[in-house]
Amino acid sequence: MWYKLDVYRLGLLLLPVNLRKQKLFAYIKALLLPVNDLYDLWANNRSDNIYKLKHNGQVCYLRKSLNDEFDTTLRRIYIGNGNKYTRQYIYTRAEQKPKFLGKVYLRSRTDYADTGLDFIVYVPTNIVDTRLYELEAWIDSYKEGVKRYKIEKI
Amino acid sequence: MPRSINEIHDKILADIANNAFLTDLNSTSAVAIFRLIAYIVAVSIHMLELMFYQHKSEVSELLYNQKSGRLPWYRYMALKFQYGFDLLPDSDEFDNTGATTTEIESSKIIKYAAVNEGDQQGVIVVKIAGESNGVLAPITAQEQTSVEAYFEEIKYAGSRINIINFLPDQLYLTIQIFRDPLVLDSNGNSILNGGRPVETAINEFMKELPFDGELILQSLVDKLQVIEGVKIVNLLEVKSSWIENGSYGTPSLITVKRIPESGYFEIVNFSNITYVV
Repeated sequence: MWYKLDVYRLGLLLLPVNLRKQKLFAYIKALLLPVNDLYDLWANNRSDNIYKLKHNGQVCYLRKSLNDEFDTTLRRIYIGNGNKYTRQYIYTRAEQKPKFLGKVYLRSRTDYADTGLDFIVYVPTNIVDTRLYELEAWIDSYKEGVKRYKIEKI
Repeated sequence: MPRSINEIHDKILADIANNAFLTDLNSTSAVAIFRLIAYIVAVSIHMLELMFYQHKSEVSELLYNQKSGRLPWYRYMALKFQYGFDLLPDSDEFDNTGATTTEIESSKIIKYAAVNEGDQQGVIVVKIAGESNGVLAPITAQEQTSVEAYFEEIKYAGSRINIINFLPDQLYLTIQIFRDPLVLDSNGNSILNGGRPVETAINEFMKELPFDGELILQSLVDKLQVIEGVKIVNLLEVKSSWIENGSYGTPSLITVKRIPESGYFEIVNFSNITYVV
């Protein structure tokens, strides 16, 4: 591959055969040491850049990157949609508008369409307990700007 | 562009020549040891530069192709859908191993797609249509289930996708055509060539209308106006009805323009086109 390079080997290969002696090669190695360091830094940086560019807030890629980072072997993390219940309003006595209430459930305010969440990330309990802030930073860096979410333990 | 090996090499040698402590290194032989070493260093630096350069273009390309989640991108993804294929794990690409080009092409059942913002916040409306016998038609319920599952997988987390896959909106035309009796007879047939030029023109007009495009009555009039033998086009009433809760609703009047709910229109019949002198 084009991005794999062994600087020392390159230096040795460029020496004429009759000059390939230990002393000279050692000297050349010393000269090339900073170049090699720079190459290592760059190679790591490259793989990070590519990973970041290939993952985004799409459900499939967000799930993949979360599993890659937090749950490499079991891959239990998944993403669901938030609930979008509509609110049910009742009236005061003065308004004189009786309303028949069927079954009414009490829900957290995050379950309603207007104040609610857009998606829920389901994460195994032990990961949430140990690495919660990392997890939040990770999701924040990939998700779409205006979307609200919460982390549910499973 | 990265610097060439010679450029870097010359730079190193120039620095050596300008250095008062290195006056001994003045050999011009091509194989002088110090030149050789300088050359090796130059090659290594050049290699690094090449890699940086390559990486830069690689990143630019990835950025350029990045999935933006803008509305046109959703449309692009809808057209890419392949019925009967599975997605690669944790990816939005289809697994096409072992499939022939023909199979892949025939599995792309969505031929038309248009994407709009929905009325509610965070809802994306995707209007789709397939083709049957060369005419636009909705895809089957089973296919729609697949499409929904596909969008659940590839959408941006938190977006809501509302897929509209309906029968075409029905269009009712009531038109009065003032004809030139020398060219058109009372049924709208062309006396010279036979056939009904007005109906042909209307069909043509519907074909030219893009998917999810606005039907503008003025454009329809313009289209009919140029037919030989048509003097005045009088649109008495143009109505359309669309699917609501599983069946067509009552037709409602189109005053100036209308975007079809399903993305496309179907003309019910031409019986309400009258020809007068």
